[in-house]
Amino acid sequence: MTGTREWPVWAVWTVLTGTSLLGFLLAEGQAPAKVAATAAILLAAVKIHLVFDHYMELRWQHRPLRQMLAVWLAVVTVILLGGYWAA
Amino acid sequence: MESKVDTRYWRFCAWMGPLFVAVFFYCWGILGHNFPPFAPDTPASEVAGWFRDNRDGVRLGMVIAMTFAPAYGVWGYALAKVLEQAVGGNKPGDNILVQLARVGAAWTTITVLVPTSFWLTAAFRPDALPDWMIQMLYDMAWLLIDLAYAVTSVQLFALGVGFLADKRAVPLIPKWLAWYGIWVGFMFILECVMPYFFNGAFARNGILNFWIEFIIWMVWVPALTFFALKAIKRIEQE
Amino acid sequence: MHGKAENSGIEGARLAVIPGDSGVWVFIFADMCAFAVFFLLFSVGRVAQPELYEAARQQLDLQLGLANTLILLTSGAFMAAAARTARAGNVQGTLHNLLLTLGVGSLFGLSKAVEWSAKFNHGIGLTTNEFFTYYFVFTGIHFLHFVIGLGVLLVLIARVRDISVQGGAMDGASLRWIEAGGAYWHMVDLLWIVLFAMLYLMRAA
Repeated sequence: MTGTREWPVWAVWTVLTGTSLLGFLLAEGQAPAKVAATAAILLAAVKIHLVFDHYMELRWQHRPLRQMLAVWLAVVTVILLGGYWAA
Repeated sequence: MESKVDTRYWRFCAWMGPLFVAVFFYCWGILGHNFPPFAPDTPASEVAGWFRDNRDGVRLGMVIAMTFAPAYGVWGYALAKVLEQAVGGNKPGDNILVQLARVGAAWTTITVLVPTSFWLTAAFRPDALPDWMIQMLYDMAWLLIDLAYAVTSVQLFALGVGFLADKRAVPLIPKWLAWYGIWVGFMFILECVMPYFFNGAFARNGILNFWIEFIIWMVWVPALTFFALKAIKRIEQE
Repeated sequence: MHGKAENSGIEGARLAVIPGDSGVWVFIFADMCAFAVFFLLFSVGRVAQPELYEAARQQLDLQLGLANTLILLTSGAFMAAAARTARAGNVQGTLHNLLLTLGVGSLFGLSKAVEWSAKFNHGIGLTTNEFFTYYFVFTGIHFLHFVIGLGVLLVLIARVRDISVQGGAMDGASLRWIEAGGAYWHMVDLLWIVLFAMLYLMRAA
């Protein structure tokens, strides 16, 4: 996960909000659909990674749990991207 | 513990849980064509035809399933005895969680008995019944056994919360299993959408409302039994 | 939790139930796996009928979806702040952060009510088509998690308020409660992040 440093809560919030807005604007805007959708999924993965690390404070939990959640995130990302690109 | 706990018969009763699951799976599930069930959009003629062709197997399956239905309740009482030791206190039998765990198991027995009697009815004289009526009995049994989930959730929640209250350094039942049971009770809520669907994931034969729901519950019973048997040994040594 | 608690073992439940102990993570992870199955079902369904899914997606209100997201993210930030103030031993700060978590989070219920009632008013419901079946079931189950989360927050607030009223210090058990309750609340948050991307943002070519 992202190192061991704890980010200030509102720095995390700013990134989360910014990426949410970006995903939304891409979906609403003129960007090519495949770019917008792929970006939305990848941005969601980044956001969840941040939530794991800085909100759920997984950096303090033991390794197997962190790895399980990392696998979960990877699987979910593949499911969504795979589903989108296969359609 | 001031005086030794009388654990006679506890093991025997605890074994009734896995026994129930095994018997029920074969008799109700395989002999009764309920594992997996007919999809709700299966034509009535197909369901009725199957009951007419397999009436003897269904009758045998349901009769044995009904005979073994109380085994679930017996198991639940054994688990409640272990729960008493987990919650502790002066009169643990009066603890409301223990009582709810017992009554949840007892009620679950009823929700198994009643629908199995509907499937049995469908196989009793299938030649005399019109196709739609056999289909109706089959539907009715499934709607009841699935939508009675909340009764079993009472048992799941009571056992889960109770085992979490165990103050031992190493609890009698591991906390993860207590949480797993609470999660199973919670997941059952998906059954609420089952009556709206004739196919797909939420139908009675669907990936969520059949496969996942039944399997997570059927896994919980032997897993909890395994740890309960270990707990009984510890209680005897305490 | 009152009266004869010392005899009934319920008091023990209060102290030991929700810990930062690893058991609660079994619940959280099992739940996340259930949602992963939901996401898989949706993806497989979308592959089979991409036009239907896209047409249905266009009927969703993206702005409300974004509002839902921002509400939960903001509420989650207050929750994270609550865990940090609790660890620092700041009882008042923890109480304020928990109240803000609850206050901001409650707005999610409001925006969901607006969104769902708009759908129902347009004659869109659980059985309209496969997309909306998934939309209502997944967001419905998620909503149930949200409501339980509000209950957990109320319990946490009551507990910290008791400490505050008695002028006590943050104890280990309370801290574990806050951490575990927080982990649950963040799960509600992160599942919505996926639902938002999956249901609202996956614009088809």
